Amino acid sequence: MTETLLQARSVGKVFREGGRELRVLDGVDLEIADGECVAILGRSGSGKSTLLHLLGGLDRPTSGAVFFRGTDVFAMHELAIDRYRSGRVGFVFQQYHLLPELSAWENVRLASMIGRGRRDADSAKPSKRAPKERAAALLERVGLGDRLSHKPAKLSGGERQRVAIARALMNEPSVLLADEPTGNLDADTGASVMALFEELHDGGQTMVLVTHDAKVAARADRMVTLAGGRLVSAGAESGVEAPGALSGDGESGERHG
Amino acid sequence: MYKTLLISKYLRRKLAPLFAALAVMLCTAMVVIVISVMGGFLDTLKESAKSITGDLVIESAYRLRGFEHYAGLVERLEAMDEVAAATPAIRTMGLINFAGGPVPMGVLGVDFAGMDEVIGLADRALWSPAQLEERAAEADRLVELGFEEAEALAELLREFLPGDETGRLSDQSGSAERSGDVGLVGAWAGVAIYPWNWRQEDGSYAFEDAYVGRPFTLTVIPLNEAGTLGSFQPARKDFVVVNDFKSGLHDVDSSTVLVPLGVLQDMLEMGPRFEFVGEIDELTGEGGELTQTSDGRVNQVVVKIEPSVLVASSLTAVQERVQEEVTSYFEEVGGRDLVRVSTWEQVHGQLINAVQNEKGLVTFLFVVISLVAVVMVATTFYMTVLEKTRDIGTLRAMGASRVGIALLFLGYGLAIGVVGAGTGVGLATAVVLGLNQIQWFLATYLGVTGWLVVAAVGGTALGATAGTLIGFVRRSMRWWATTLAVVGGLGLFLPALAALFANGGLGTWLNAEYSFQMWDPQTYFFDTIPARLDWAEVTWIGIGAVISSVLGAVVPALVASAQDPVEALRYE
Repeated sequence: MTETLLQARSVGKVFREGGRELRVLDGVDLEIADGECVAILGRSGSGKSTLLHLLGGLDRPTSGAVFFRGTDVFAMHELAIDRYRSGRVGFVFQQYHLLPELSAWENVRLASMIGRGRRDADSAKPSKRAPKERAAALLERVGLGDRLSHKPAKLSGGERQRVAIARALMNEPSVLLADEPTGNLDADTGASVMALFEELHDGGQTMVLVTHDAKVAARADRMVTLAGGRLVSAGAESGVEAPGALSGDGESGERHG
Repeated sequence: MYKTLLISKYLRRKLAPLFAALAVMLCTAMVVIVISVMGGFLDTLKESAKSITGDLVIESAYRLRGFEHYAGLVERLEAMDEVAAATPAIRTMGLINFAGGPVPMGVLGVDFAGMDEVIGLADRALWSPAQLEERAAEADRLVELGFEEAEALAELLREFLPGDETGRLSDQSGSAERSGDVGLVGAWAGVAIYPWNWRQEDGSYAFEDAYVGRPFTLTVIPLNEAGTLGSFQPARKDFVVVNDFKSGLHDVDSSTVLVPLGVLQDMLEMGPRFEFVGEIDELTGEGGELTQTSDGRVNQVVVKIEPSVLVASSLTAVQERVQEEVTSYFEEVGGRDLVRVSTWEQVHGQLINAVQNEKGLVTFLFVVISLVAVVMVATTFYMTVLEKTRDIGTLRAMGASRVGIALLFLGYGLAIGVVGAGTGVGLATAVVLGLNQIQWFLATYLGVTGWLVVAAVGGTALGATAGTLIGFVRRSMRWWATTLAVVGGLGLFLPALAALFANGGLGTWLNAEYSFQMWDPQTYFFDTIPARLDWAEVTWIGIGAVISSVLGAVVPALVASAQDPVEALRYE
């Protein structure tokens, strides 16, 4: 059995909006082992993205805790959490979220620029190669070796997502957190992006994929399904929600668009 | 590091920062230009005021009556380490009569050589030694032709020529004895006094008639030691103008004549006093000895302080030391005069303070206007923050800290401030250095320039408007608008240019009819706009502009850094 990398321990998240309380996550327990690929399934508004944000230290849980290699992430200083996001985690979003002013190459390098000066803290992960060369090599690896100087606007959706993946990998993250990475892509492009993820996973990259596409989820080592803020099935092969999930959906549905 | 990259990208990509930088630039340039023109005005005013006053002026509290023992005082003062030179003078009022028109006039009795040492009088002379020599040669020719009276004039003119090649006035200048036998006494008149010297529109003087050698009659009222009317009638004497002087202050140039000190002392009955001392036979009135009991009176001693002393200590400190020396001197000689020492700034205080206040007020007003730049920067940043909300979320997701995001936008504000202030100072420098040329251009060629610019711009605007309308109908607006704009612009500009060449009178008429004079030299004291750049001031204004820009970015930067990254990522 491999070591537990990331652990969510009875994590709850409540959003307050207009005096109403929306319980998006309600006591979720999840363990992700080193080298594992976990898919989180669920309908829109089931809280999958929120769980991903909590795992990545982008949002704070209302209750419970997230542990990274046994360290309580949210017990750390704010700057340490920032460092955790930049050094340990790589986010890939459905909307790519590339900076429009920067070229593909600069977008990828940006990750190392933000992380710079913090690398000393986790010297266990030295990146010997110069960031510029590493960024170029990563773009080469995702098949965009000839698109270095292109602005995101000049790239297709699939290409943008590849740049985003290269950016997420720039700081050699312990875990890749992908939120509907193929959600905006057509079937063929989505498949090629998924192939890239699989390739990365084969190389030993730990990753968590959030998706509502059962086909995508099926390629993961393990699937978990979120409904009504709870993990309704772990390890199940199907993305179909358990009974009783619908009412929870109705409440939190407006959180996601 | 990522901040630098993003700031440089943000600066280059967007129009909004350009406008913000433009606002900062214009405000910086505006304040620098205003402060330079006002400061230059003030400096020139001070320079002129100082140049006709000397550093320190020692005056009798009894004003026109003056004080005795001045020769000893000058000696004592010149022995002081701080004093470079000192010279006695009389400042009084009189009437002069140039060719039949009497005018009230300030009269300054000076020892020309001494005054030259103290205030550089020779540098204020309008006519050069060469020109005076030429005029003297003319007089020589008149003598050869038989007009022997001209000999005195030639002699008089040469008397006021520099003693040697240093260009300084010689000790002989204005000594009454030399010209006493023919009764001609030389004097310097302010350039604006003689009615046939008049100031032209551009501030320079036009001279008609012979420039020197004009006679005038000076009438003064003698005052005795009690300060009341001495003789029963005013004293009158004829002088010949041997040079004009131009201080730069129109007020002074139009109301001051300089005459030899000894001559004025005699006229005012302020000269040396003689008495019979000793036993006098009461019956015959014989016996006793005629002795000089007083060297006469002056009402001013003008002092030049060693420039090196003024580097180390303020003029006020020197003023105090001189005052002490003067007081102790008068105690020693038993003078009963109250004498006080004033600096040139105190003498011209009213005028200088007025201009200084004006400078402060105008600068303040323009600084207030410059707050517009701050608001402009703040608005731009607020819009940028809104526009960049998703990017901020992305950066946070990539591990950027809240402080980092705040610094990113503060740095952006700093960059805009630096760019705006830098270009603003550049623009202001160009304008200030070229101000007189710009003024000259506007005053000279505004008509023709305006004619051509109006033709070109008007034609372009008409063409663009017509093109937009036609293009709207024809569904190709850009092509029609640009084409017709060029056609219209050239269509009016070329005929306008041709009209100028075809009819030379048109250009002359336009320039004469439409001209703009920013600075009317007839109204002000100086011929040219006395703008100067004080780099200390410019630096402070630049720093102020940069700080204002950063301040304008503070609130948006805090708003940006406070954004919830998850919310920001969802922002549409």
